[in-house]
Amino acid sequence: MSSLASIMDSSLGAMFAARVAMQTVGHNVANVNTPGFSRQEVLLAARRPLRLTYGTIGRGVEVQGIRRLTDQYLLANRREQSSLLYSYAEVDGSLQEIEAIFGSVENDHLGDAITKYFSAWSDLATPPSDPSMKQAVLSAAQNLVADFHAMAENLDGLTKNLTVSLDQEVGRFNELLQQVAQLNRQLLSGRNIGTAANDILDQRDLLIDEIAKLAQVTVVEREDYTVDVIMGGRTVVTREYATQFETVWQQEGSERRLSLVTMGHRKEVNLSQGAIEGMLTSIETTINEAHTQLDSMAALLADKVNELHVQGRSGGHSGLVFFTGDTAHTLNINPAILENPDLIATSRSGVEGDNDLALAIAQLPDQPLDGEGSATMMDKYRSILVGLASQRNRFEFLVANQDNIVTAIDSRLESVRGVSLDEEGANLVRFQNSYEAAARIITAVQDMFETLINM
Amino acid sequence: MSIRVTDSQMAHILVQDNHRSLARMLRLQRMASSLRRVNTYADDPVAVGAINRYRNLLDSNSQYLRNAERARAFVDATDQALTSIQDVLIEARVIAIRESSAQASDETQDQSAVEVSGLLDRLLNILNVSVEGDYIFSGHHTSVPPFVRTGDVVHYQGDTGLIDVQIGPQATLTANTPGDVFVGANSAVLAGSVDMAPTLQLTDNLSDLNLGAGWETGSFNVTDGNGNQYTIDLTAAVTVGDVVNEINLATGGAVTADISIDGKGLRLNGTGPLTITEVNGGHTAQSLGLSGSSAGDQLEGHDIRIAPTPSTLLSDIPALNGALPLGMVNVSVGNNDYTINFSAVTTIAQMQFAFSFITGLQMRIDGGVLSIVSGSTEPFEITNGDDTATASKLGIEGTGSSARLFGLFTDLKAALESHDPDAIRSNLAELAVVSKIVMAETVKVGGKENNLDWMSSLLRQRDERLQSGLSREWDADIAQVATDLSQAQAAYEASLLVTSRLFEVNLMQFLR
Repeated sequence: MSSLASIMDSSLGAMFAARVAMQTVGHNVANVNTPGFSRQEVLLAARRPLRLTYGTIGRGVEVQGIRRLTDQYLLANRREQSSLLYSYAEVDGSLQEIEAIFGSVENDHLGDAITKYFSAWSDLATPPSDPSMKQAVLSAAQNLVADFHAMAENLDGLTKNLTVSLDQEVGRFNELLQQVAQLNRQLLSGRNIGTAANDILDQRDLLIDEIAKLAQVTVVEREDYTVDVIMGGRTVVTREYATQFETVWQQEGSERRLSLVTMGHRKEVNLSQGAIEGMLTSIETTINEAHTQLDSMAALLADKVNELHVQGRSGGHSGLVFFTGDTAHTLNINPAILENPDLIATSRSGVEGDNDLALAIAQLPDQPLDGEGSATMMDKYRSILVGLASQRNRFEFLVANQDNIVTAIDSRLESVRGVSLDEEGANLVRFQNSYEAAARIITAVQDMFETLINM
Repeated sequence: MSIRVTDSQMAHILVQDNHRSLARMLRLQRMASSLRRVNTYADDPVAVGAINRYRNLLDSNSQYLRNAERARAFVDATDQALTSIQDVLIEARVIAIRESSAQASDETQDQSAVEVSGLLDRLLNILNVSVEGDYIFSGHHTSVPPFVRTGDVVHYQGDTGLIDVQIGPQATLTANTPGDVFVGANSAVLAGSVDMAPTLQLTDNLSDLNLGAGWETGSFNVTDGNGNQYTIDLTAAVTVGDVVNEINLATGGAVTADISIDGKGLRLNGTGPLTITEVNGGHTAQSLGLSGSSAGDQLEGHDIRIAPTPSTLLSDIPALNGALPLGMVNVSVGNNDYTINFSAVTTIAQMQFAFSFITGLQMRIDGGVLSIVSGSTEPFEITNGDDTATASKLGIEGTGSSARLFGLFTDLKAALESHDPDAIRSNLAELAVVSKIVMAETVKVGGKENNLDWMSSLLRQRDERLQSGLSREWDADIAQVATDLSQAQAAYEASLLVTSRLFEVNLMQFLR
């Protein structure tokens, strides 16, 4: 039966609902700049009506719940794309470092050192002969060797720094996994709280976003709102349990390989994308390849020069190599020559004016390496540079492109879950009005009571 | 459904756009400040390769230029030295002709011997020239002087080593001329020993007399046994015939002139003793082979014959008197044997033609004698091919031996000291051969200088071409960059303006 009290009751309900809605608007406005925040919406519904003999009568409004608005599909897609982005960005970063080590387009120091070395030989080969020319060849060789050493050390330094960063990132990865597990625990224990979970879910999404930057993961949400995080086919977080990881150098034949393994059991994880994978690729492949190419250049140079120089005679000596060692690290000048530049041979005959060997060595950089028409030493060096440049170009493009993709998805995601102040402003007016209207009804009911009492 | 536009979405997009314009501006600014289109490897990998290649080529190009400049010092010094040697050879030739002529006396020959010794020293100085401490004629032994003199013997201390210099991508140039070319390792010579000068003819030009050395125009006096003195004025004379006529005319037939029986000089007939005296200290009579007094009615002049030329008829050569027709000559060069048939030849040119079929060998007619010169170090030998003894008669029987620049001077000096005109004269042939060798080397060196000039200009052109190629790959199009930059700046400013304005307005401001 309808009564004044029931009118008052439904108006009170309306006021309560408007207050809750206003609070949600406040919450949304307050979090307009909170990263990862999904706007919330109060779910209002008409109360169950009262069935009377003459029909059913409405009993006002009730708050059914507060939901957050987000798009799980876009979230998952963005995570996947950002895994790729961070993977590319890491490789691009190390390629930039490698470029810096190799010099620049302007300052091609190794190329210059090689050219200067052979130039010195050409000077030595050109009459009139000058004893100081041998010293010049030696100095140029010293510069060349020093440059090889410096580059090899810089590449090693790069590997070392990256390994340290990798360890830090893996540490952060472990931390993030644990935080997700912790949020799972909170969700398990506070299942009944309801609305508060929305913000925990946002926080968890944000954590998983961070995890996805480091390594590609998939997320499976359970009925109890907890998530399982799966990486490379392995469940790494389930409920409040998180797996922890570390990096180890593994011996594989003669090669050492850096890999990510589980802490304790040391099970290797197959990473597909992400910053950690990018770093591993940088160390394992990118830097390693640059190092190998540098080594092969050093070996080629030493080989070709020695092949000729051992034929020479000088200062009563013959068969001396000019360079020792066969990698960028180990390349060195024959100590005997270093001590006595006169031992640098210019000819096979050992006669002071003879220059056949010096001439042949001076011509080395432009000589085809494997017969007529094949690449020269300088071509080989150039192909290293061009290879590096192509990779740099490719990854710069990939990063820019991937960044665009992530931005586009981000934009769509923010369109769904972001707070619009205009919208909130409109809601503010709406709920304020409904609150006022409900209050006005209570005033009217109060008047009706007075009329009733004074009758 | 309309698209929701949220504040964070707007902020996100705007910041992203700002980043993008800023990055573009940064790239353009880098181009503008470096004036380079390509600044990092990532900008244009293909251009990185091309730039590196161009820079490499430019580096080696300037190295070639530097090499060419340094090699030029060697080549120029060689050229100068060869020119000086040629001068010395000319002086030696003048001495040999002068001292083998009638004008010579023991005294002048002794003086000339000293002069020749001086020339030998001069030659040594010329050939021992060094460029920045490197002896240029020593082959590979650049630190030792090529020639040392011990008494009258000069030794070569160098070797045959050639010093090649790289002056182009695929071009080398031999910078030095080993001194052995003057002492024989590079060519072999067989100097003839038979005087091939043709019989004196009345039609011979006076300027061709004395193996081409000519004569001195002027007058001389002839005094006969009767005490008559006749002055012969030859200022108008052109041929030997003119001289004969002038003598006959001026003496009114008291003294007659004709060509001597051996055909080598002039002969005067008159009442003896006939005495020749010069006028005003001239050498006109001497240059015509006439000097001194005769014991009887006849005064025999000295040999004043002209030099043989390829067109000289063999029958005109006194030395071949009775030797014609010629027969066979055997020539062996290395492992090859040849036989040349001279039986049908009538001129020197025909003999040269017959010789020209033997590769590497050349018959020359220099300084009055035949000589055979080989272009290589391969020894060769010439022998008589039949019982006509043709090779012996032509004076070319023997083995080809080295050119002897210094030995020649030593021989000449010895000949002068022994006052033997024939011995002095016999050096002329070898002098001519050596002179030819020096000339050939001079031509070679001249060729090298041309080559260096040409190569230098080619390298400079190449440098320009490479520079422009490099610039095409590397340099920024400044006009384009400036335009792009101002556009990028405008875009950036616009995006900043929008950013600053956008958040100024929202519904909240319009609510009471």
